[in-house]
Amino acid sequence: MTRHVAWAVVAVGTTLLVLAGCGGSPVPALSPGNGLPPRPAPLRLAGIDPCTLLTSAQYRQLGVNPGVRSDYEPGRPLQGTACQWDTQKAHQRIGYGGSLVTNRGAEYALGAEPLRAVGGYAATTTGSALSDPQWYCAMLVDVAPGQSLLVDYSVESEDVPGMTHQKACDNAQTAAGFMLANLKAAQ
Amino acid sequence: MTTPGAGPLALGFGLTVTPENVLGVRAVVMQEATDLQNMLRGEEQYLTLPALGRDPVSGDMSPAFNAVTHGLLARARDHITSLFALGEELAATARSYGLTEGDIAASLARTEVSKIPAPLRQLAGLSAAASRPIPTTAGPLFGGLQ
Repeated sequence: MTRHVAWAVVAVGTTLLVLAGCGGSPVPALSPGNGLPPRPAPLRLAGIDPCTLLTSAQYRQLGVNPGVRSDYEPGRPLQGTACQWDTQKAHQRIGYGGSLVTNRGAEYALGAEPLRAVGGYAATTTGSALSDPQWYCAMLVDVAPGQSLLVDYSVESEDVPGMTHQKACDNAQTAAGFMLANLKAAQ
Repeated sequence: MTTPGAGPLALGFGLTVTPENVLGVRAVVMQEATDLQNMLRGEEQYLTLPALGRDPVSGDMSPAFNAVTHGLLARARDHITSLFALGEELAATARSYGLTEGDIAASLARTEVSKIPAPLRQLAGLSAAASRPIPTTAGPLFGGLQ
């Protein structure tokens, strides 16, 4: 069963690599002048298990199951550790992701959408090349120079009534608030 | 799949679900669905970024590529949805056999591969002699966290 989907994923990945090679990806300068408001204090990402970014009470509040570790594979645009919390059901299948990104700051998506703030830290939001923006939002929180806390919300079954990209980002922002607080507590 | 009942259930592909193997079959289906789901979620890191320049790839060609990728991924998502739906039907079948929610949840923590029908073992790439657990990725999958 996996093979049918695997070929699709490979094909998509190849397409994206072609896109990356021809069009290039914006990598803004990683410096205090990254275009974002000053951060309250840099937060350490090293040594943090991303699946501890949500407590059991918090992921239950968000309506999802315990997290599954799913670190980024080598060679991808984003590097770091990641955890996914999903509902694992056929309908209204939603998911949250929490990633400790070590090679891109929040300015990676600067300019895509209006800035937001999470716990005093600036946050950029955008969509995914693989998802309809109605069902997906990625939020990058500016926690450290050249690094970020990436929190995403997705409706994988694309069937939640009334969902919009704005609402998806609102949901990501709620989860980001939880994750940032837990990240601060882990310092 | 037919309406759940107390007797054996023909799934197709030469598979027959019985009270003895229903949890093993469901564990494989749920693991497959979860693995595929995680695979797709991992691909979503290709974020939509502000256009860098006015080259044709960033402008005209990018939407065309996106249309193709969205089509491929839509098929993958439909496939994953059908697997989760099958998992839900198998859970209902297990209940009709008298198995409890605890039995269903626990079956995902460890499933004896020998109880999984041979055709499904082959599809899932499992060896009959293997005794590895099919890892759980969650606690109560249905109803517990709604």
